Amino acid sequence: MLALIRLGDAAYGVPISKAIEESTRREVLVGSVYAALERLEEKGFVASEVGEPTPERGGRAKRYFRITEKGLRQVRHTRSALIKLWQGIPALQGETR
Amino acid sequence: MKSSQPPVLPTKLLQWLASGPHGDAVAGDLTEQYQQGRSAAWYWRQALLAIVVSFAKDRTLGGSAILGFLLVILLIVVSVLRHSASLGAGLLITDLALLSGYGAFAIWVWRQRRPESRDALTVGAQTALILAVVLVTSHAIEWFALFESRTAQLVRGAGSVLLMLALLGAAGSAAWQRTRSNMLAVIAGLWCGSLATLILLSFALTLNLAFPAHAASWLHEAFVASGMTDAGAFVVRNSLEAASEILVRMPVAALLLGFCGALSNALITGRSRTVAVVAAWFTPFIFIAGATALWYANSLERAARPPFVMAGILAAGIALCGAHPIWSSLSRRHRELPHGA
Repeated sequence: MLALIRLGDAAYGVPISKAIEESTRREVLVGSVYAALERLEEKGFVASEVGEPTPERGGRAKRYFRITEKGLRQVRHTRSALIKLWQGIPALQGETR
Repeated sequence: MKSSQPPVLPTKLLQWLASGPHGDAVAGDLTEQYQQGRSAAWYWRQALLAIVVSFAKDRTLGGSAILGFLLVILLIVVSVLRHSASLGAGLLITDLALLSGYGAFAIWVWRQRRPESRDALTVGAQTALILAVVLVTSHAIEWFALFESRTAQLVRGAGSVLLMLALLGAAGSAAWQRTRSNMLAVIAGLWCGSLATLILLSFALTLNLAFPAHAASWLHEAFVASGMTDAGAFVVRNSLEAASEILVRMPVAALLLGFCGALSNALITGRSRTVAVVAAWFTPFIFIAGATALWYANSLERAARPPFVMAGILAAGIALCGAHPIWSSLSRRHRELPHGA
């Protein structure tokens, strides 16, 4: 969901996968990315729409994803929960920033 | 950027085998990344793993059913090849023809993209797993002769049939509740029955192949009466006959009960609470009447049983089809009541 927020209007499978690959430095399975997005879409955290088909994609359309209001609330909630968890560990104080 | 097209075979496999609403988008993303310089090995790996992920996350179980269908075909062919000299081709052809219908249905389910169809099929698949546990357990108890008394056999047999009726009705009712479509409810019922049948057949045929001596001793009396000389061939013939019977009966039952479940839900949902309460009181009596008819049929000679069995199953089936809509309607209304009311 963070990758979707970062990419904004340009969020479809390829840049989403690349953004995750760059941050994790591991190869990402495109199929798994879509599986996760599908689950998020079912929960209402993410919405998607079909773009125009392009020749470099073999005539297949891109599917653009964007985060919903509900998804954004969930991200904020998760962030504050994570910060609280980090703050509970004295040895890691100051490393969350 | 590469000018060549990505490898054809994985692209075709992805196109044919990957399910879900984003199948095309995955293929497009892989093609785009291949054009941007990814290797053919990367493309193959991604395409094959996308298919695996697609199989694993498919809640309609369409892909698993295709594999189940192929497994049943394989088990039947292996069983027949072991005793081909003693068996005719007629039964085999009948079973394969019936199974091909199941295979076609599984492929159709696998390729469904419409969300409401997938919703209904997911309900069918979930109910099918419960039904499969019931049928497999009942078959295992019978096969290993765990409870041999006549009463225990009757309870097991009648219990599994009644649970089957209830689950097929529940599949139709729950699918109608989600989609408000009679057609999709019937399809969900059919899918429930088909999937459970494939699981049961895989289990039963595997048992016969894995424990041939036990299978022969289990059917010894019938084998002696049959006049056949090859006990193994008799077991296979018996399996094929039983398979063709369930392959025909299950879709008919699923069709009727799925529709009954949908109809019951349509009649009860949206009406006043009184209707649901009256149905909840009235339905057990219909069920008891059906169960009594079945019990009575069991005390009669075989030839005199059919009218009582049919009447019993019909009454019990109608009552059991009402179970899910009534429970669902009453529990929904209970949840909707304000706290303290």
